[in-house]
Amino acid sequence: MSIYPRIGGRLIRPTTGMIRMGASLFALHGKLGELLPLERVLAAVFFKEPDRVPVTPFFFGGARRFAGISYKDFSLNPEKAAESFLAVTEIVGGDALYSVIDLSVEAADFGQKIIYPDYSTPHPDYSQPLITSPDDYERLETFDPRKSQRMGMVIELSRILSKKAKLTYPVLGFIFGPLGVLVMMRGAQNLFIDCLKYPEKVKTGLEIVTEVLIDYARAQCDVGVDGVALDTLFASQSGISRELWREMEGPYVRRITDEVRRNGALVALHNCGLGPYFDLQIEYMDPVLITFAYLPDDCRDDAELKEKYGRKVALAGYIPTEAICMETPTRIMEIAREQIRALGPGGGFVLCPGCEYPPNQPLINAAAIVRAAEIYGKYPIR
Amino acid sequence: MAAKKDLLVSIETAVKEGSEDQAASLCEQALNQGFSPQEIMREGLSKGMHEVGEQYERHELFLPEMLLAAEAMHAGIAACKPFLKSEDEPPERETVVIGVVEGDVHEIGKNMVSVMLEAEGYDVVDLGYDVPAQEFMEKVKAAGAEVLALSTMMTTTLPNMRHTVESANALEPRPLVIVGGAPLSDVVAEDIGASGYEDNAAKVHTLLRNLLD
Repeated sequence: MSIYPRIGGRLIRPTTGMIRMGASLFALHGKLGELLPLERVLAAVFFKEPDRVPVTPFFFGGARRFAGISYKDFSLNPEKAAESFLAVTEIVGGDALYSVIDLSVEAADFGQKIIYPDYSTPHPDYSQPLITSPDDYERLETFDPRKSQRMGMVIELSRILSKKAKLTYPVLGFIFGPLGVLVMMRGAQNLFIDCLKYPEKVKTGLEIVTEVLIDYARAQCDVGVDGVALDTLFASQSGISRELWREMEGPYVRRITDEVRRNGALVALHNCGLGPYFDLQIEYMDPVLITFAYLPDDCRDDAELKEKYGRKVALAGYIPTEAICMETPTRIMEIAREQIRALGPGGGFVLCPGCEYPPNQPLINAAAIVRAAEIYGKYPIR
Repeated sequence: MAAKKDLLVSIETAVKEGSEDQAASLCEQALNQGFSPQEIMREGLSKGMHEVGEQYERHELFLPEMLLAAEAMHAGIAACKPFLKSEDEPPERETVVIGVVEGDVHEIGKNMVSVMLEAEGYDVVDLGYDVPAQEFMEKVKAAGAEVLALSTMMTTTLPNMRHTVESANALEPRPLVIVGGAPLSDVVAEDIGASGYEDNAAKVHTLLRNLLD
Protein backbone atom coordinates (compact mmCIF):
# COMPACT_ATOMS: atom_id res chain seq x y z
CA MET A 1 0.00 0.00 0.00
CA SER A 2 1.49 3.31 -1.05
CA ILE A 3 0.29 6.88 -0.91
CA TYR A 4 0.69 7.03 -4.68
CA PRO A 5 -2.24 5.87 -6.85
CA ARG A 6 -1.81 2.85 -9.10
CA ILE A 7 -2.86 2.45 -12.68
CA GLY A 8 -2.48 -1.00 -14.19
CA GLY A 9 -0.54 -2.08 -11.13
CA ARG A 10 2.06 0.65 -11.57
CA LEU A 11 2.56 3.51 -9.11
CA ILE A 12 1.82 6.92 -10.55
CA ARG A 13 4.25 9.41 -9.08
CA PRO A 14 5.03 13.05 -9.70
CA THR A 15 7.82 13.56 -12.21
CA THR A 16 11.12 15.12 -11.17
CA GLY A 17 10.02 18.29 -12.96
CA MET A 18 6.85 18.40 -10.89
CA ILE A 19 8.82 17.79 -7.68
CA ARG A 20 11.21 20.56 -8.66
CA MET A 21 8.29 22.92 -9.16
CA GLY A 22 6.85 21.77 -5.83
CA ALA A 23 10.20 22.53 -4.19
CA SER A 24 9.92 26.15 -5.29
CA LEU A 25 6.42 26.36 -3.87
CA PHE A 26 7.52 24.76 -0.61
CA ALA A 27 10.36 27.29 -0.34
CA LEU A 28 7.85 30.08 -0.80
CA HIS A 29 5.54 28.52 1.74
CA GLY A 30 8.51 28.14 4.12
CA LYS A 31 8.88 31.92 4.26
CA LEU A 32 5.41 32.15 5.75
CA GLY A 33 5.34 29.27 8.17
CA GLU A 34 6.62 25.91 9.23
CA LEU A 35 6.94 23.24 6.54
CA LEU A 36 6.21 19.57 6.79
CA PRO A 37 9.37 17.42 6.82
CA LEU A 38 8.68 16.15 3.27
CA GLU A 39 8.31 19.69 1.97
CA ARG A 40 11.43 20.80 3.82
CA VAL A 41 13.57 17.97 2.47
CA LEU A 42 12.35 18.33 -1.12
CA ALA A 43 12.93 22.07 -1.11
CA ALA A 44 16.46 21.59 0.21
CA VAL A 45 17.29 18.74 -2.14
CA PHE A 46 16.35 20.89 -5.13
CA PHE A 47 18.48 23.82 -3.93
CA LYS A 48 15.75 25.99 -2.47
CA GLU A 49 15.86 27.46 1.00
CA PRO A 50 13.11 25.88 3.12
CA ASP A 51 12.05 27.19 6.54
CA ARG A 52 15.15 25.61 8.08
CA VAL A 53 17.89 23.12 7.27
CA PRO A 54 16.42 19.59 7.28
CA VAL A 55 17.97 17.19 9.76
CA THR A 56 18.13 13.50 10.55
CA PRO A 57 19.96 11.81 13.41
CA PHE A 58 20.66 8.86 11.08
CA PHE A 59 19.77 6.03 13.41
CA PHE A 60 20.01 2.53 11.99
CA GLY A 61 20.66 -0.19 14.58
CA GLY A 62 20.51 2.36 17.40
CA ALA A 63 16.83 2.89 16.57
CA ARG A 64 16.03 -0.42 18.26
CA ARG A 65 16.73 1.18 21.64
CA PHE A 66 13.75 3.50 21.18
CA ALA A 67 11.41 0.53 20.95
CA GLY A 68 13.24 -1.59 23.51
CA ILE A 69 13.81 -4.49 21.13
CA SER A 70 16.79 -6.75 20.51
CA TYR A 71 19.21 -6.28 17.63
CA LYS A 72 17.98 -9.52 16.12
CA ASP A 73 14.34 -8.42 16.21
CA PHE A 74 15.31 -5.13 14.67
CA SER A 75 17.14 -6.97 11.91
CA LEU A 76 14.47 -9.51 11.12
CA ASN A 77 11.08 -8.16 12.12
CA PRO A 78 9.73 -5.38 9.86
CA GLU A 79 6.94 -4.30 12.21
CA LYS A 80 9.31 -3.92 15.13
CA ALA A 81 11.93 -2.14 13.03
CA ALA A 82 9.26 0.26 11.76
CA GLU A 83 8.14 0.88 15.32
CA SER A 84 11.77 1.72 16.19
CA PHE A 85 12.20 4.22 13.37
CA LEU A 86 8.89 5.88 14.11
CA ALA A 87 9.80 6.13 17.79
CA VAL A 88 13.08 7.88 16.91
CA THR A 89 11.17 10.44 14.88
CA GLU A 90 8.64 10.89 17.66
CA ILE A 91 11.19 11.23 20.46
CA VAL A 92 14.29 12.80 18.91
CA GLY A 93 12.80 14.32 15.78
CA GLY A 94 14.16 14.38 12.26
CA ASP A 95 12.83 15.04 8.80
CA ALA A 96 13.13 11.67 7.08
CA LEU A 97 12.41 8.00 7.51
CA TYR A 98 14.67 5.34 6.04
CA SER A 99 14.64 1.59 5.85
CA VAL A 100 18.29 0.91 6.62
CA ILE A 101 19.00 -2.12 8.75
CA ASP A 102 22.66 -3.04 8.22
CA LEU A 103 25.10 -3.98 5.48
CA SER A 104 24.65 -7.74 5.76
CA VAL A 105 21.06 -7.79 4.44
CA GLU A 106 21.73 -8.51 0.76
CA ALA A 107 24.58 -10.98 1.34
CA ALA A 108 22.46 -12.93 3.83
CA ASP A 109 19.89 -13.65 1.13
CA PHE A 110 22.55 -14.87 -1.28
CA GLY A 111 23.32 -17.47 1.38
CA GLN A 112 26.09 -15.90 3.44
CA LYS A 113 25.98 -17.05 7.06
CA ILE A 114 25.37 -14.06 9.33
CA ILE A 115 26.14 -13.62 13.02
CA TYR A 116 23.57 -11.65 15.03
CA PRO A 117 25.31 -10.37 18.19
CA ASP A 118 23.08 -9.30 21.07
CA TYR A 119 24.48 -5.78 21.27
CA SER A 120 26.16 -5.10 17.98
CA THR A 121 25.52 -4.91 14.27
CA PRO A 122 24.89 -8.18 12.43
CA HIS A 123 27.81 -9.19 10.26
CA PRO A 124 28.95 -12.07 8.07
CA ASP A 125 30.65 -15.03 9.65
CA TYR A 126 33.99 -14.51 7.97
CA SER A 127 35.18 -17.91 9.12
CA GLN A 128 32.62 -19.28 6.66
CA PRO A 129 32.59 -17.01 3.61
CA LEU A 130 30.14 -17.97 0.89
CA ILE A 131 32.72 -17.24 -1.80
CA THR A 132 35.82 -19.21 -0.97
CA SER A 133 37.67 -18.94 -4.28
CA PRO A 134 37.54 -16.85 -7.47
CA ASP A 135 35.66 -19.72 -9.11
CA ASP A 136 32.77 -19.28 -6.70
CA TYR A 137 31.59 -15.96 -8.12
CA GLU A 138 29.83 -17.67 -11.00
CA ARG A 139 28.07 -20.01 -8.58
CA LEU A 140 25.99 -17.20 -7.10
CA GLU A 141 22.34 -17.48 -8.05
CA THR A 142 19.66 -14.88 -8.64
CA PHE A 143 16.42 -14.93 -6.66
CA ASP A 144 13.33 -12.84 -6.03
CA PRO A 145 14.19 -10.41 -3.19
CA ARG A 146 10.49 -10.05 -2.33
CA LYS A 147 10.48 -13.69 -1.27
CA SER A 148 13.83 -13.69 0.53
CA GLN A 149 14.14 -13.32 4.29
CA ARG A 150 16.10 -10.13 4.82
CA MET A 151 15.56 -8.15 1.64
CA GLY A 152 11.92 -9.17 1.93
CA MET A 153 11.98 -7.74 5.44
CA VAL A 154 13.41 -4.43 4.21
CA ILE A 155 10.80 -4.26 1.44
CA GLU A 156 8.06 -4.83 4.01
CA LEU A 157 9.64 -2.25 6.33
CA SER A 158 9.71 0.23 3.43
CA ARG A 159 6.04 -0.51 2.78
CA ILE A 160 5.08 0.10 6.42
CA LEU A 161 7.11 3.30 6.66
CA SER A 162 5.75 4.62 3.35
CA LYS A 163 2.24 4.00 4.55
CA LYS A 164 2.82 5.61 7.95
CA ALA A 165 4.71 8.55 6.50
CA LYS A 166 1.80 9.53 4.29
CA LEU A 167 2.70 12.91 2.85
CA THR A 168 4.51 14.07 5.97
CA TYR A 169 7.92 12.40 5.83
CA PRO A 170 10.05 11.34 2.89
CA VAL A 171 10.96 7.65 3.01
CA LEU A 172 14.29 6.49 1.72
CA GLY A 173 15.03 2.88 0.81
CA PHE A 174 18.55 1.51 0.92
CA ILE A 175 20.77 -0.86 -1.05
CA PHE A 176 24.38 -1.84 -0.43
CA GLY A 177 26.30 -1.48 -3.71
CA PRO A 178 27.24 -4.65 -5.62
CA LEU A 179 30.92 -4.51 -4.68
CA GLY A 180 29.93 -4.15 -1.04
CA VAL A 181 27.63 -7.16 -1.26
CA LEU A 182 30.49 -9.23 -2.66
CA VAL A 183 32.78 -8.03 0.15
CA MET A 184 30.28 -9.44 2.63
CA MET A 185 30.54 -12.86 0.96
CA ARG A 186 34.23 -12.95 0.08
CA GLY A 187 35.93 -10.62 2.61
CA ALA A 188 37.38 -7.27 1.60
CA GLN A 189 40.96 -8.44 1.32
CA ASN A 190 40.22 -11.36 -0.96
CA LEU A 191 37.80 -9.36 -3.10
CA PHE A 192 40.28 -6.53 -3.61
CA ILE A 193 42.95 -8.98 -4.69
CA ASP A 194 40.46 -10.77 -6.96
CA CYS A 195 39.59 -7.44 -8.60
CA LEU A 196 43.21 -7.15 -9.74
CA LYS A 197 43.99 -10.80 -10.40
CA TYR A 198 40.69 -12.18 -11.68
CA PRO A 199 38.59 -9.18 -12.77
CA GLU A 200 36.47 -11.18 -15.19
CA LYS A 201 35.47 -13.68 -12.52
CA VAL A 202 34.52 -10.85 -10.16
CA LYS A 203 32.47 -9.27 -12.93
CA THR A 204 30.53 -12.49 -13.34
CA GLY A 205 29.58 -12.21 -9.66
CA LEU A 206 28.81 -8.51 -10.04
CA GLU A 207 26.42 -9.27 -12.91
CA ILE A 208 24.47 -11.75 -10.79
CA VAL A 209 24.37 -9.51 -7.73
CA THR A 210 23.39 -6.49 -9.81
CA GLU A 211 20.50 -8.33 -11.39
CA VAL A 212 19.08 -9.05 -7.92
CA LEU A 213 19.77 -5.51 -6.71
CA ILE A 214 17.94 -4.02 -9.69
CA ASP A 215 14.93 -6.10 -8.78
CA TYR A 216 15.38 -5.11 -5.13
CA ALA A 217 15.38 -1.43 -6.14
CA ARG A 218 12.21 -1.98 -8.17
CA ALA A 219 10.53 -3.73 -5.23
CA GLN A 220 11.39 -0.90 -2.83
CA CYS A 221 10.09 1.70 -5.28
CA ASP A 222 6.97 -0.36 -5.79
CA VAL A 223 6.00 -0.18 -2.10
CA GLY A 224 6.22 3.60 -2.22
CA VAL A 225 9.60 4.86 -1.06
CA ASP A 226 10.35 8.36 -2.30
CA GLY A 227 13.97 7.62 -2.94
CA VAL A 228 16.55 4.87 -2.72
CA ALA A 229 20.06 5.39 -1.34
CA LEU A 230 22.94 3.30 -2.58
CA ASP A 231 25.97 2.71 -0.41
CA THR A 232 29.05 3.05 -2.60
CA LEU A 233 31.72 2.91 0.09
CA PHE A 234 34.49 1.73 -2.21
CA ALA A 235 34.31 4.80 -4.45
CA SER A 236 36.67 6.55 -2.06
CA GLN A 237 40.30 6.72 -1.12
CA SER A 238 39.66 4.16 1.60
CA GLY A 239 38.41 1.80 -1.08
CA ILE A 240 39.80 1.41 -4.55
CA SER A 241 41.33 3.67 -7.19
CA ARG A 242 39.15 5.76 -9.46
CA GLU A 243 40.16 3.64 -12.45
CA LEU A 244 39.34 0.37 -10.72
CA TRP A 245 36.00 1.70 -9.49
CA ARG A 246 35.12 2.78 -13.02
CA GLU A 247 35.72 -0.76 -14.13
CA MET A 248 34.42 -2.78 -11.20
CA GLU A 249 31.42 -0.91 -9.81
CA GLY A 250 30.51 2.16 -11.86
CA PRO A 251 28.69 0.37 -14.68
CA TYR A 252 26.75 -1.82 -12.25
CA VAL A 253 25.53 0.91 -9.92
CA ARG A 254 24.53 2.95 -12.95
CA ARG A 255 22.06 0.23 -13.92
CA ILE A 256 20.61 0.11 -10.41
CA THR A 257 20.16 3.87 -10.15
CA ASP A 258 18.66 4.01 -13.66
CA GLU A 259 16.08 1.51 -12.46
CA VAL A 260 15.29 3.64 -9.40
CA ARG A 261 14.66 6.65 -11.64
CA ARG A 262 12.67 4.58 -14.12
CA ASN A 263 10.38 3.70 -11.23
CA GLY A 264 9.87 7.35 -10.35
CA ALA A 265 11.94 7.54 -7.19
CA LEU A 266 14.90 9.79 -6.41
CA VAL A 267 18.46 8.52 -6.21
CA ALA A 268 20.62 9.21 -3.17
CA LEU A 269 24.08 7.93 -2.21
CA HIS A 270 25.78 7.17 1.04
CA ASN A 271 29.56 7.08 1.10
CA CYS A 272 31.35 7.27 4.43
CA GLY A 273 34.81 6.50 3.05
CA LEU A 274 37.79 8.84 3.30
CA GLY A 275 38.07 11.12 0.28
CA PRO A 276 34.97 9.97 -1.62
CA TYR A 277 35.01 10.46 -5.39
CA PHE A 278 32.01 12.79 -5.70
CA ASP A 279 32.61 13.66 -9.35
CA LEU A 280 32.86 10.04 -10.43
CA GLN A 281 29.76 9.00 -8.53
CA ILE A 282 27.79 11.91 -9.94
CA GLU A 283 28.94 10.92 -13.43
CA TYR A 284 27.73 7.33 -13.00
CA MET A 285 24.65 7.73 -10.82
CA ASP A 286 23.51 11.34 -11.01
CA PRO A 287 22.13 11.36 -7.45
CA VAL A 288 20.08 14.20 -6.00
CA LEU A 289 21.76 13.80 -2.62
CA ILE A 290 24.99 12.41 -1.17
CA THR A 291 25.47 11.66 2.51
CA PHE A 292 29.15 11.69 3.37
CA ALA A 293 31.51 11.51 6.35
CA TYR A 294 34.64 13.13 4.91
CA LEU A 295 35.39 15.80 2.34
CA PRO A 296 35.62 14.52 -1.23
CA ASP A 297 39.11 13.84 -2.56
CA ASP A 298 39.08 17.00 -4.69
CA CYS A 299 38.02 19.49 -1.97
CA ARG A 300 40.17 21.00 0.75
CA ASP A 301 37.43 22.51 2.89
CA ASP A 302 33.71 23.16 3.23
CA ALA A 303 33.90 26.31 1.14
CA GLU A 304 35.42 24.45 -1.79
CA LEU A 305 32.90 21.63 -1.35
CA LYS A 306 30.01 24.08 -1.50
CA GLU A 307 31.54 25.91 -4.44
CA LYS A 308 32.32 22.79 -6.44
CA TYR A 309 29.34 20.55 -5.68
CA GLY A 310 26.80 22.75 -3.89
CA ARG A 311 24.64 23.23 -7.00
CA LYS A 312 25.15 19.78 -8.47
CA VAL A 313 23.99 17.57 -5.64
CA ALA A 314 22.44 18.11 -2.22
CA LEU A 315 24.97 17.51 0.55
CA ALA A 316 24.01 15.57 3.67
CA GLY A 317 26.40 15.36 6.56
CA TYR A 318 28.66 15.37 8.22
CA ILE A 319 28.94 15.36 12.01
CA PRO A 320 31.92 13.09 12.73
CA THR A 321 31.20 9.76 14.38
CA GLU A 322 34.07 10.17 16.84
CA ALA A 323 32.67 13.56 17.88
CA ILE A 324 29.29 11.97 18.57
CA CYS A 325 31.05 9.40 20.77
CA MET A 326 33.30 11.80 22.62
CA GLU A 327 32.02 15.36 22.58
CA THR A 328 29.45 17.16 24.68
CA PRO A 329 26.08 18.17 23.19
CA THR A 330 27.24 21.78 23.31
CA ARG A 331 30.28 20.98 21.18
CA ILE A 332 28.16 18.93 18.77
CA MET A 333 25.89 21.94 18.32
CA GLU A 334 28.93 24.11 17.60
CA ILE A 335 30.15 21.68 14.94
CA ALA A 336 26.65 21.57 13.46
CA ARG A 337 26.44 25.37 13.43
CA GLU A 338 29.74 25.64 11.56
CA GLN A 339 28.57 23.14 8.96
CA ILE A 340 25.19 24.83 8.59
CA ARG A 341 26.88 28.18 8.01
CA ALA A 342 29.26 26.74 5.44
CA LEU A 343 26.96 24.40 3.56
CA GLY A 344 23.44 25.60 4.27
CA PRO A 345 23.07 28.88 2.33
CA GLY A 346 21.02 28.49 -0.84
CA GLY A 347 19.60 25.15 0.27
CA GLY A 348 21.07 21.85 -0.89
CA PHE A 349 22.07 20.80 2.62
CA VAL A 350 20.73 18.28 5.13
CA LEU A 351 22.35 18.09 8.56
CA CYS A 352 23.11 14.58 9.79
CA PRO A 353 25.94 12.42 11.13
CA GLY A 354 28.53 11.36 8.56
CA CYS A 355 27.55 7.77 9.11
CA GLU A 356 25.13 5.75 11.20
CA TYR A 357 24.53 7.22 14.67
CA PRO A 358 26.77 5.02 16.85
CA PRO A 359 24.27 2.35 17.93
CA ASN A 360 25.31 1.94 21.57
CA GLN A 361 26.40 5.48 22.39
CA PRO A 362 24.43 7.88 24.61
CA LEU A 363 21.50 9.39 22.74
CA ILE A 364 21.90 12.97 23.94
CA ASN A 365 23.99 14.01 20.94
CA ALA A 366 21.20 12.95 18.58
CA ALA A 367 19.01 15.51 20.30
CA ALA A 368 21.84 18.05 19.96
CA ILE A 369 22.04 17.50 16.20
CA VAL A 370 18.29 17.95 15.74
CA ARG A 371 18.23 20.97 18.03
CA ALA A 372 21.13 22.58 16.15
CA ALA A 373 19.14 22.46 12.92
CA GLU A 374 16.15 24.01 14.66
CA ILE A 375 18.16 26.82 16.22
CA TYR A 376 20.95 27.58 13.74
CA GLY A 377 19.37 26.23 10.58
CA LYS A 378 16.58 28.79 10.15
CA TYR A 379 16.69 30.49 6.75
CA PRO A 380 18.05 32.93 5.84
CA ILE A 381 21.26 31.63 7.40
CA ARG A 382 23.53 34.36 8.64
CA MET B 1 78.47 -5.09 -8.75
CA ALA B 2 76.00 -3.15 -10.89
CA ALA B 3 74.35 -6.40 -12.04
CA LYS B 4 74.09 -7.57 -8.43
CA LYS B 5 72.48 -4.29 -7.45
CA ASP B 6 70.12 -4.63 -10.40
CA LEU B 7 68.83 -7.85 -8.94
CA LEU B 8 67.85 -6.13 -5.71
CA VAL B 9 66.19 -3.38 -7.70
CA SER B 10 64.25 -6.03 -9.65
CA ILE B 11 63.07 -7.56 -6.37
CA GLU B 12 61.98 -4.12 -5.19
CA THR B 13 60.11 -3.64 -8.47
CA ALA B 14 58.44 -7.05 -8.23
CA VAL B 15 57.04 -6.03 -4.83
CA LYS B 16 55.88 -2.66 -6.13
CA GLU B 17 54.15 -4.34 -9.03
CA GLY B 18 52.61 -6.97 -6.78
CA SER B 19 54.15 -9.83 -8.70
CA GLU B 20 54.23 -12.76 -6.29
CA ASP B 21 55.91 -15.30 -8.58
CA GLN B 22 58.46 -12.83 -9.81
CA ALA B 23 59.38 -11.77 -6.27
CA ALA B 24 59.88 -15.38 -5.16
CA SER B 25 61.95 -16.42 -8.15
CA LEU B 26 64.13 -13.29 -8.03
CA CYS B 27 64.79 -13.89 -4.33
CA GLU B 28 65.84 -17.46 -5.09
CA GLN B 29 68.11 -16.13 -7.84
CA ALA B 30 69.63 -13.62 -5.44
CA LEU B 31 70.23 -16.29 -2.80
CA ASN B 32 71.98 -18.43 -5.42
CA GLN B 33 74.19 -15.50 -6.29
CA GLY B 34 75.30 -15.23 -2.70
CA PHE B 35 73.16 -12.42 -1.35
CA SER B 36 72.32 -12.85 2.32
CA PRO B 37 68.63 -13.27 3.14
CA GLN B 38 68.80 -10.11 5.27
CA GLU B 39 70.20 -8.08 2.42
CA ILE B 40 67.46 -9.31 0.09
CA MET B 41 64.76 -8.58 2.62
CA ARG B 42 66.13 -5.19 3.59
CA GLU B 43 67.35 -3.85 0.27
CA GLY B 44 64.80 -5.53 -2.00
CA LEU B 45 61.55 -6.64 -0.38
CA SER B 46 61.25 -4.07 2.41
CA LYS B 47 62.43 -1.26 0.20
CA GLY B 48 59.71 -2.13 -2.32
CA MET B 49 57.04 -2.29 0.37
CA HIS B 50 58.26 0.96 1.88
CA GLU B 51 57.87 2.66 -1.51
CA VAL B 52 54.39 1.15 -1.86
CA GLY B 53 53.52 2.58 1.57
CA GLU B 54 54.66 6.02 0.47
CA GLN B 55 52.61 5.80 -2.72
CA TYR B 56 49.60 4.78 -0.63
CA GLU B 57 50.15 7.79 1.59
CA ARG B 58 50.17 10.03 -1.48
CA HIS B 59 46.98 8.31 -2.78
CA GLU B 60 48.84 7.16 -5.85
CA LEU B 61 47.79 3.61 -5.17
CA PHE B 62 45.14 2.04 -3.00
CA LEU B 63 44.33 -0.95 -0.84
CA PRO B 64 44.09 -3.57 -3.62
CA GLU B 65 47.51 -2.67 -5.02
CA MET B 66 48.97 -2.57 -1.52
CA LEU B 67 47.55 -6.01 -0.76
CA LEU B 68 49.07 -7.42 -3.89
CA ALA B 69 52.43 -5.89 -3.00
CA ALA B 70 52.15 -7.48 0.45
CA GLU B 71 51.55 -10.87 -1.16
CA ALA B 72 54.67 -10.40 -3.27
CA MET B 73 56.70 -9.38 -0.24
CA HIS B 74 55.53 -12.42 1.70
CA ALA B 75 56.38 -14.72 -1.23
CA GLY B 76 59.89 -13.26 -1.20
CA ILE B 77 60.23 -13.63 2.57
CA ALA B 78 59.07 -17.24 2.30
CA ALA B 79 61.83 -17.88 -0.24
CA CYS B 80 64.45 -16.30 2.03
CA LYS B 81 63.38 -17.72 5.39
CA PRO B 82 64.89 -21.23 5.04
CA PHE B 83 68.30 -19.60 4.59
CA LEU B 84 68.08 -17.42 7.68
CA LYS B 85 70.40 -18.48 10.49
CA SER B 86 69.52 -17.55 14.06
CA GLU B 87 72.77 -15.59 14.47
CA ASP B 88 71.75 -13.51 11.44
CA GLU B 89 68.72 -12.08 13.21
CA PRO B 90 69.28 -8.44 14.10
CA PRO B 91 69.13 -8.20 17.90
CA GLU B 92 67.36 -4.84 18.08
CA ARG B 93 64.04 -5.86 16.44
CA GLU B 94 61.04 -4.79 18.46
CA THR B 95 58.04 -7.07 18.77
CA VAL B 96 54.54 -5.85 18.03
CA VAL B 97 51.46 -7.86 18.96
CA ILE B 98 48.61 -6.78 16.73
CA GLY B 99 44.94 -7.67 16.31
CA VAL B 100 41.32 -6.54 15.98
CA VAL B 101 39.50 -6.34 19.31
CA GLU B 102 36.79 -8.72 20.42
CA GLY B 103 33.49 -8.44 18.56
CA ASP B 104 34.95 -6.91 15.40
CA VAL B 105 35.80 -8.78 12.21
CA HIS B 106 37.15 -5.95 10.04
CA GLU B 107 40.81 -6.78 9.62
CA ILE B 108 41.99 -5.23 6.38
CA GLY B 109 43.39 -2.11 8.05
CA LYS B 110 45.10 -4.19 10.71
CA ASN B 111 46.60 -6.41 8.01
CA MET B 112 48.03 -3.40 6.24
CA VAL B 113 49.63 -2.13 9.44
CA SER B 114 50.99 -5.60 10.07
CA VAL B 115 52.60 -5.75 6.61
CA MET B 116 54.06 -2.26 6.83
CA LEU B 117 55.59 -2.93 10.25
CA GLU B 118 57.03 -6.20 9.01
CA ALA B 119 58.54 -4.35 6.07
CA GLU B 120 60.08 -1.86 8.46
CA GLY B 121 61.79 -4.63 10.40
CA TYR B 122 59.53 -5.29 13.37
CA ASP B 123 58.67 -8.77 14.58
CA VAL B 124 54.91 -8.88 14.20
CA VAL B 125 52.67 -11.32 16.03
CA ASP B 126 49.30 -11.06 14.31
CA LEU B 127 46.40 -12.47 16.34
CA GLY B 128 43.78 -11.86 13.65
CA TYR B 129 40.30 -10.53 14.42
CA ASP B 130 37.73 -10.85 17.21
CA VAL B 131 40.50 -11.24 19.80
CA PRO B 132 39.57 -11.20 23.51
CA ALA B 133 41.61 -8.92 25.81
CA GLN B 134 42.93 -11.90 27.72
CA GLU B 135 44.46 -13.40 24.57
CA PHE B 136 46.21 -10.12 23.79
CA MET B 137 47.68 -10.00 27.30
CA GLU B 138 48.93 -13.58 27.15
CA LYS B 139 50.66 -12.98 23.80
CA VAL B 140 52.21 -9.70 24.89
CA LYS B 141 53.69 -11.45 27.94
CA ALA B 142 54.77 -14.56 26.05
CA ALA B 143 56.42 -12.60 23.24
CA GLY B 144 57.86 -9.93 25.54
CA ALA B 145 56.29 -7.44 23.14
CA GLU B 146 57.21 -3.80 23.41
CA VAL B 147 54.13 -2.74 21.45
CA LEU B 148 50.46 -3.71 21.36
CA ALA B 149 48.61 -2.47 18.26
CA LEU B 150 44.81 -2.61 18.33
CA SER B 151 42.22 -1.96 15.68
CA THR B 152 38.47 -1.63 15.51
CA MET B 153 36.16 -0.31 12.81
CA MET B 154 32.96 -0.16 14.85
CA THR B 155 31.72 2.08 17.62
CA THR B 156 29.99 -0.90 19.22
CA THR B 157 33.35 -2.52 19.94
CA LEU B 158 35.04 0.60 21.31
CA PRO B 159 34.30 -0.52 24.90
CA ASN B 160 36.20 -3.75 24.16
CA MET B 161 39.13 -1.71 22.89
CA ARG B 162 39.07 0.41 26.04
CA HIS B 163 39.03 -2.73 28.18
CA THR B 164 41.98 -4.18 26.23
CA VAL B 165 43.98 -0.96 26.53
CA GLU B 166 43.30 -0.79 30.27
CA SER B 167 44.40 -4.40 30.70
CA ALA B 168 47.60 -3.72 28.77
CA ASN B 169 48.33 -0.59 30.77
CA ALA B 170 48.16 -2.68 33.93
CA LEU B 171 50.82 -5.13 32.69
CA GLU B 172 54.35 -5.10 34.03
CA PRO B 173 56.37 -4.28 31.98
CA ARG B 174 53.83 -2.06 30.34
CA PRO B 175 53.72 -2.24 26.53
CA LEU B 176 53.21 0.78 24.36
CA VAL B 177 49.61 0.65 23.10
CA ILE B 178 48.72 2.16 19.74
CA VAL B 179 45.26 2.14 18.18
CA GLY B 180 43.60 2.73 14.84
CA GLY B 181 40.27 2.35 13.05
CA ALA B 182 37.33 4.31 11.72
CA PRO B 183 35.68 5.48 14.97
CA LEU B 184 38.98 6.61 16.48
CA SER B 185 40.81 9.90 16.64
CA ASP B 186 43.61 11.35 18.77
CA VAL B 187 40.98 12.43 21.27
CA VAL B 188 39.33 9.00 21.48
CA ALA B 189 42.72 7.29 21.70
CA GLU B 190 43.77 9.48 24.59
CA ASP B 191 40.44 8.99 26.32
CA ILE B 192 40.73 5.20 26.27
CA GLY B 193 44.30 5.36 27.55
CA ALA B 194 46.25 4.53 24.38
CA SER B 195 49.71 6.00 23.82
CA GLY B 196 49.23 6.73 20.15
CA TYR B 197 46.81 6.82 17.24
CA GLU B 198 47.33 6.74 13.50
CA ASP B 199 44.82 6.60 10.66
CA ASN B 200 47.26 5.64 7.91
CA ALA B 201 48.91 2.22 7.81
CA ALA B 202 51.96 3.60 6.06
CA LYS B 203 52.61 6.08 8.87
CA VAL B 204 52.38 3.71 11.83
CA HIS B 205 56.11 3.04 11.67
CA THR B 206 56.82 6.77 12.07
CA LEU B 207 54.41 6.96 14.98
CA LEU B 208 56.16 4.06 16.67
CA ARG B 209 59.61 5.52 16.10
CA ASN B 210 58.48 8.77 17.70
CA LEU B 211 57.00 6.96 20.67
CA LEU B 212 59.78 4.43 21.15
CA ASP B 213 62.81 6.68 20.64
